[in-house]
Amino acid sequence: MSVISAERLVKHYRIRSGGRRPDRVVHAVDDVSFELAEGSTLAIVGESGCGKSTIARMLVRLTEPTAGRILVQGRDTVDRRAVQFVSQNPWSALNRRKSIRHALEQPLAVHGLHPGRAARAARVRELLDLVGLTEEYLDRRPGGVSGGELQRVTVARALAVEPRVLVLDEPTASLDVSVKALLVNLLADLRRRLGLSYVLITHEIDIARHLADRVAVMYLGRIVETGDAEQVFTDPRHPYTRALLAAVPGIGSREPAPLLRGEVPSAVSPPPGCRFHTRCPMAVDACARTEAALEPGPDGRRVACLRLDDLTAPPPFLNDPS
Amino acid sequence: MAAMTAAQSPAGQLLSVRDLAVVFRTRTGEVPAVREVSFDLARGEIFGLVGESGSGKSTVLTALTRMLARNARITSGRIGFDGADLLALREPAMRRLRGDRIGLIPQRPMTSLSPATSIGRQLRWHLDGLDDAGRLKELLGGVGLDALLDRLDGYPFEFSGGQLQRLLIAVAALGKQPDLLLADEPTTTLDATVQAQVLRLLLELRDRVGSAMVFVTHDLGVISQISDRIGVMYAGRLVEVAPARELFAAPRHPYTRALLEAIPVRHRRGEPLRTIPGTVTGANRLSGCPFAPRCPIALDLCREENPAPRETGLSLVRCHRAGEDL
Ligand SMILES: Nc1ncnc2c1ncn2[C@@H]1O[C@H](COP(=O)(O)OP(=O)(O)OP(=O)(O)O)[C@@H](O)[C@H]1O
Ligand SMILES: Nc1ncnc2c1ncn2[C@@H]1O[C@H](COP(=O)(O)OP(=O)(O)O)[C@@H](O)[C@H]1O
Ligand code: SF4
Ligand SMILES: [Mg+2]
Ligand SMILES: [Mg+2]
Repeated sequence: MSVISAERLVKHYRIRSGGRRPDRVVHAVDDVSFELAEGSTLAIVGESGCGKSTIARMLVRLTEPTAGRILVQGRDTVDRRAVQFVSQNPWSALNRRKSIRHALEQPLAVHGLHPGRAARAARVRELLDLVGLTEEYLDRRPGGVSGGELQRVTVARALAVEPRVLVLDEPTASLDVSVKALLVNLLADLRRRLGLSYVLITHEIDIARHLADRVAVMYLGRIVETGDAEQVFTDPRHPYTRALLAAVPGIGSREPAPLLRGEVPSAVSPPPGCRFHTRCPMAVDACARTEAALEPGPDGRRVACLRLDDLTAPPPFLNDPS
Repeated sequence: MAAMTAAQSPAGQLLSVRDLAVVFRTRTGEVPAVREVSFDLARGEIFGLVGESGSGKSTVLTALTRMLARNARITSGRIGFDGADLLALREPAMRRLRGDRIGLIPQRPMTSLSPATSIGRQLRWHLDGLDDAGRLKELLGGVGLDALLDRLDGYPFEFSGGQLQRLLIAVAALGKQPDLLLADEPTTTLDATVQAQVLRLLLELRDRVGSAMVFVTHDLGVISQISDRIGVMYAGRLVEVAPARELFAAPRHPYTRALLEAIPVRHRRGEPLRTIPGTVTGANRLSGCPFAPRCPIALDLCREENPAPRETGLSLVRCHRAGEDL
């Protein structure tokens, strides 16, 4: 069963132009649907500014969709406990002036969980233990612990209210390689032990590949390809997915990937037809007029591309580990 | 021609850092954040810096711009920049250098932008001549932000993390075209295609105007693409320096080796990633090798004595066991 179903989500931001011009609308997310199966991880990857964080903010109800709905465990009611957020920047997520104890107790107090000092303290110890920190951290402030430790604190805090789902927005972006590895291992371990499901937003394809069961690839407010993670990462079909994976720098490679040609379109006036057509190496005239639906192919994955039938050549992407 | 060494680079020297040490005063005493850091940079050369969080990478960059936090102090060292002694310059002269010759792309874009001012105005604060529409288009287009041309009246919160980061890159790199560009994790919030565009842009800037760069990143793929030489920091020290190819082909310091083993592509899907056991906490204060508590091949000597830098050709390593065949 799906723990989250996102149905035709739309988020448009209206930006005022101060009277002289009509207001403009940023099409941050347009008609995005996905399912998150219980106990699984869905990675969302895509171009900077394509709407990933906007989806995250809608899932955790920090912002309301312009249209569409989000079902949590089949219900359309707002459940502020079931879905919790871990943001990219642990420093801005926590109050600098308050202790880590406060950060962990606050959600318990807000939701009236584990009432009483002793019960609350016990729960806080349990949370620290879950993420592999000791009690000596409790009285420190966010400024006094390293980025990796602080990211554990934000994970512990998100877990405080026993959620079913964590929405992780670039959880490992600013961590060094070995601390990143620790956090990835921790997330995998928590998922197994607590039966959690994750929506993982990341630019780090290797981490998405390591953790995700399914992946959704976004471009300019839309999902362009979605399917089994291993399948999409080893055999990407949509031209944008291919460009994205081809650009991942391999260790020891000496030259950045070639540029996508063409104008980067604006989310204020997304191009008609396929939104990628202004930069797509495969584009034909029809792509500028007609938008392909996100159709399921024979292998179960969905790709939104008019030229789907021509997108079969095996791609030489992702550098081999050896 | 004099023999080149790791700390020195070929003719056209721009920057020379010698024995730099920085401490922070904190409630629990002084933290030595950077110790005995020496490296040179030629015009047009790109020096990549990797290393553990907290190892002092950002502190080195901010020391180079002399914009350290108030509780920080440079306790020793020399920074030569194009013949001038940076640490001896008066503040107005330093400010002029920061204005056009030394550019910094800071680590956290959100905290370097003013939340209540439109991004268009902030761009104009930093750069003269921006009223020329062609120039603005060129600047934004260079970092893939052509699409923001009609949104310049927007405030920072209206943009994604990666869009803000690219604005700062456009200002510091394309806008100022500095002789020395200091980039602190400039591409961490960018997807791979935009990242490749930014890397190409920086390489092109280097080729066209000869900018030298110090480029900090945790991404080993990125650092191998952008750098001529790479420095690896651990607990305030530069523990290894080597030409990019060499570092990946034959890492010599045990920390560098552990780093290369922790990356996910070296693991099967779902298998736990290799990590480095132990923690870096307290390593800054050790009298021996700072990596000794976590090092799989440490000897008693390592715990007692800090290894001196050994130079061979263009490389440098600080490890007692570096010469051995292990
Ligand atoms: N409050 C806002 N008002 C107006 N536009 C916004 C607002 N928040 C986001 N946007 C715009 O919506 C689009 C999607 O932004 P979002 O933050 O979701 O991108 P993202 O995919 O998370 O990007 P990144 O990878 O760079 O973090 C962008 O064009 C952004 O500028
Ligand atoms: N403003 C500050 N006050 C006290 N300590 C600091 C400050 N800034 C950095 N430090 C300490 O200095 C060391 C180096 O930090 P930093 O240069 O930010 O490392 P990196 O950029 O390599 O992650 C760390 O131990 C860090 O905790
Ligand atoms: S000096 Fe010793 S402890 Fe330090 S890295 Fe080398 S072998 Fe390991
Ligand atoms: Mg984002
Ligand atoms: Mg830093």
